[in-house]
Amino acid sequence: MGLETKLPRLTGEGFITTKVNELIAWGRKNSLWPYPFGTACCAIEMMATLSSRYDMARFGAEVIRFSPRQSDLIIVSGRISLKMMPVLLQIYSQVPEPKWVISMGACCSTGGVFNTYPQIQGIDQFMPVDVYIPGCPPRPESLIDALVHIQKQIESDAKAHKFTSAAAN
Amino acid sequence: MSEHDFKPLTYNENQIDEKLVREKLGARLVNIAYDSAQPVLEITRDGWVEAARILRDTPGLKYNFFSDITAADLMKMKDFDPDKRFMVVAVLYSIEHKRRIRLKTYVPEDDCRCPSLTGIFDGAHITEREAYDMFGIRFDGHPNLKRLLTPEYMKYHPLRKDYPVTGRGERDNFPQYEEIQ
Repeated sequence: MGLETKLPRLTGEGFITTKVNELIAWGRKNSLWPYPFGTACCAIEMMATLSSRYDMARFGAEVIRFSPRQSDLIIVSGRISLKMMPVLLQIYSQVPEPKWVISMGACCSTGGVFNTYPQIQGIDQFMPVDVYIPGCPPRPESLIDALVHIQKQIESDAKAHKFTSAAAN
Repeated sequence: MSEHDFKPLTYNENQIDEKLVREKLGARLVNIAYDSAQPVLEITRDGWVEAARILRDTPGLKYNFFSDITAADLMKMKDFDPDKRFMVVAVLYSIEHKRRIRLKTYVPEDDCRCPSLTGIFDGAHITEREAYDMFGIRFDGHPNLKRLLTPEYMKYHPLRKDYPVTGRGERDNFPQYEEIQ
């Protein structure tokens, strides 16, 4: 993670000083466990991001968990319909704290082109969202960028003595 | 005219034996029309089930494969008649003769009911549920007529023409995450 390269430069003596908050956040941000809530074509791009070509493992988020109780990052990718929104809310409530949410793509961020009766016009009306990704569907680079934004947010939350993003909301 | 001269194609793969159909269906048949070379039989609502049974069982017709049943709301049509607001459409196929046929019947606005084909074709179970869900046509005799695609608490039938495309607020009324905690 680049920490060892800083050791001699910082002290020259093989140790550094830090705060517990920031050490925990450093561990958290480099080991996010995503839960893939894929409901449409954005999920295909998410799969591409997770597989070898774009390789989200380089950012420490390769352990996809299909149980919300084992994950801390929900990637909502796709259209959320009238019948899916209660499911998403329940899944979100099952993820243990601290937790983060990426709203991937136009559909789940704003409703996209589907201005119709079963389409939720943005999941952020009903649950907290940390990072939005525009695009229809977004490129894998955008998802990686969103992940880096989440990592930065975890770091800055720890510096501001906020353990969870939910508390920030 | 030699035998090598061009002849227009007269063969219709969906051709029906009109005489036999008229004879067997009798008063249940209103008229026979053609749409894109596909025969469309208009059936009275009371004779709907019996007509399907005759088309399935009569030798020479044998429309024994049920493709689909759906409906249409004719409310926005030019010459709209409230007694013919909904059109229920069924598509049958004969595996033996490789022919397709379309049946239609009209359902009035104030008595939104149609006999169910579930007694004749098992495939009608789920498609009639969908037609009920989208148009609110009650299929009499269906053993499990529940909503199929929309949530159970939905009060409206979304493919009716008097239902707005953006809904009546269903999509905006969910509990906030803070409320369900």
